[in-house]
Amino acid sequence: MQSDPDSFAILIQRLFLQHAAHIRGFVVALLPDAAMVDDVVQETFLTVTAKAATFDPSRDFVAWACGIARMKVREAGRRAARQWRPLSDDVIDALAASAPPQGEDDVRLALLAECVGKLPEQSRRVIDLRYQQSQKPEEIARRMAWGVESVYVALSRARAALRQCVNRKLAGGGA
Amino acid sequence: MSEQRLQMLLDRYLDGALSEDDRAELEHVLLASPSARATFWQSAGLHAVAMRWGQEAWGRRMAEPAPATLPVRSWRPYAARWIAAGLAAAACIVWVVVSLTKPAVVPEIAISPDPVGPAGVAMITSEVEATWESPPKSATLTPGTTIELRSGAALVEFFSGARLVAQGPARLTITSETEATCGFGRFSAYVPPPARGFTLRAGSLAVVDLGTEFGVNIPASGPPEVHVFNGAVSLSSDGIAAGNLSGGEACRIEGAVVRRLAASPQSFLRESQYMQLADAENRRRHREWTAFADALSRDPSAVGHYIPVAENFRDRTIANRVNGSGASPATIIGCEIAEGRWPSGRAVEFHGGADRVRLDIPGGFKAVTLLAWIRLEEVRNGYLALLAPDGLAEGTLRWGLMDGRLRLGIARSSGKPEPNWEAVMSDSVVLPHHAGRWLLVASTFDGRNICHYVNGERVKSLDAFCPVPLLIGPAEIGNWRGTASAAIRGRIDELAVLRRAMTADELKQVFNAGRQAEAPSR
Repeated sequence: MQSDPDSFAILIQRLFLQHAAHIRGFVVALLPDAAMVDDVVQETFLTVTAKAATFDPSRDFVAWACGIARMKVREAGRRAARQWRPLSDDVIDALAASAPPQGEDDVRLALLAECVGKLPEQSRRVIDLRYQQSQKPEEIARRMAWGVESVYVALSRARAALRQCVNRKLAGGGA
Repeated sequence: MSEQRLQMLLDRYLDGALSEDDRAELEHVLLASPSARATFWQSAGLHAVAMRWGQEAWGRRMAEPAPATLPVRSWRPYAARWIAAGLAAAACIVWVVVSLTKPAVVPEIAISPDPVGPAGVAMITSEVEATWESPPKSATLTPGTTIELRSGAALVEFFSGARLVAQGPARLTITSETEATCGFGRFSAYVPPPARGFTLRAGSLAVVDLGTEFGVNIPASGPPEVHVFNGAVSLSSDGIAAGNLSGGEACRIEGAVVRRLAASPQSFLRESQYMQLADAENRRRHREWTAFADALSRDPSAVGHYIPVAENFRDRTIANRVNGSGASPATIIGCEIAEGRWPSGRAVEFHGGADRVRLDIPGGFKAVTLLAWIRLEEVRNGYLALLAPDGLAEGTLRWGLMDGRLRLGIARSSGKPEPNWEAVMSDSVVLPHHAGRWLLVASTFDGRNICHYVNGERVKSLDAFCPVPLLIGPAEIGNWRGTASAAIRGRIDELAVLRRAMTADELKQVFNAGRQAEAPSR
């Protein structure tokens, strides 16, 4: 299988791209700060490519790549210690062990877009600012002239509404 | 643990707002409970998909042309100019000694009381294609302030939570957190529950909001109209109650007659549409600024131009966008990555302490422009270093803020190891209300005058005696020899050094190209 290292490296890269959304979702869960996710995913990709030759194809690629991603998340946590503290290692291990299997990321994306469209105006605004404009709650509070606590509450409510909406649609319900 | 509490902790985690105790509680339940872990993955999963959605949606919007609801303003691209070689050669070698001003030696750092900000009750948080007859003089609006829009639109946010979209031409006088008077114009108000009772006056008419959304049209000549989009308002004229209006209803007040109409929300610019226009404006500005920044990097007199991007934080280096100037890339020490002015951009974030960015700008300069887009999280007294070279040789520049004043110092030999610093300072121009807002600060020296600019407005100009050549060399941004006392707390997302003095017009262009749809402030 490893007789042709170049084509194997390409295969590994293809596997990464195929599972990119899932790996990215894994990184986001452990590192919810948008500004840092891109770098960590990029670093994971580079390391996965560099270590391609050591990957045993009979293993689960996603589990292996996520193991590398975990290391990168830890490194990012050490570098950015002041700004963001990761969850402790044993919690991360427990979470990683119970990570849900890959699935339906593109479907969820499309459903989410529909569900965002159904949000009431203020919730929509807060979600836009948080996820399209990547603004932190303090920024959102300033822009909307709210207290930051109100922003947290609004985000919680909006997320709950989105979760319910997406789950309903996934379960085959209508509206 | 209740499901609600777990969800609350998870949301805080995703927003980076977990306290120590909350974190411990969350970690405990995640370790102990498989169902809590399942809930974690549900929340994290949605968060990840939402991030993806947000990035893609933003990317699509960036590529769209702006909706043409308001007249589109044409924008002339930044044109590179440079001083004629003859002028440069002649004027700079022979120095005019300014007999009046003795070089100012930097006094011991005297801490004056912190500058007190104005007691504002409202702010203009954004504007779209706005031209002002009477622009706001400061970021926060105090009672009694009148603003007048000639055209375009602006969003006024009252600290009570009420928001007003004003469509020009319009005049508005702010009375308090909960009241304003319309001189003329079209306004739409959105009043959330905490601000219920917000009152808009026009002449003898008073409209009191009972929640939530209404519009008011006060033509320059003609009867005023009130339209209710959602909820209800109560009307009074000269203090006498004139009834209530509910959602879908409107009325026109013709003298003593109140004529009922159907509401026509489409004839008002409501907050949601305004926000779309403001977002489109931001996207347009981002595109324009990108082109502008490229042109600045290519200016023949540019020496250094640094704009952090995400990749820089991996290898801790920011490239110099100017080719062939000899100035080095910038090295990030301690500082962390943060959002810049634009959602897809990045800034270097300084937390004080030993955070700094080091670079090396060799060579001597006969003239110089230093400019930076900065966002201070706190505006405090004392010296804050913007650009602090290591060296002390005659001609060395030192650029910073002292008690909220922009300061450019130039070293003169004193016969002792420590030089005398001749410095020109502006008045106190960076004030507490600037905290958390992006500012353009710039200082220029053209061989004769030192000028300071904030947001493209000149705030100081003074003759200065300066030995030639001006030097920078190895230097630090945001700190001074890693000493905590001179460290800034905030972000920088662009820094440029040119070997000529930019004009006031040019710096105004830099400001207009780089600011977001927020109202310019001083």
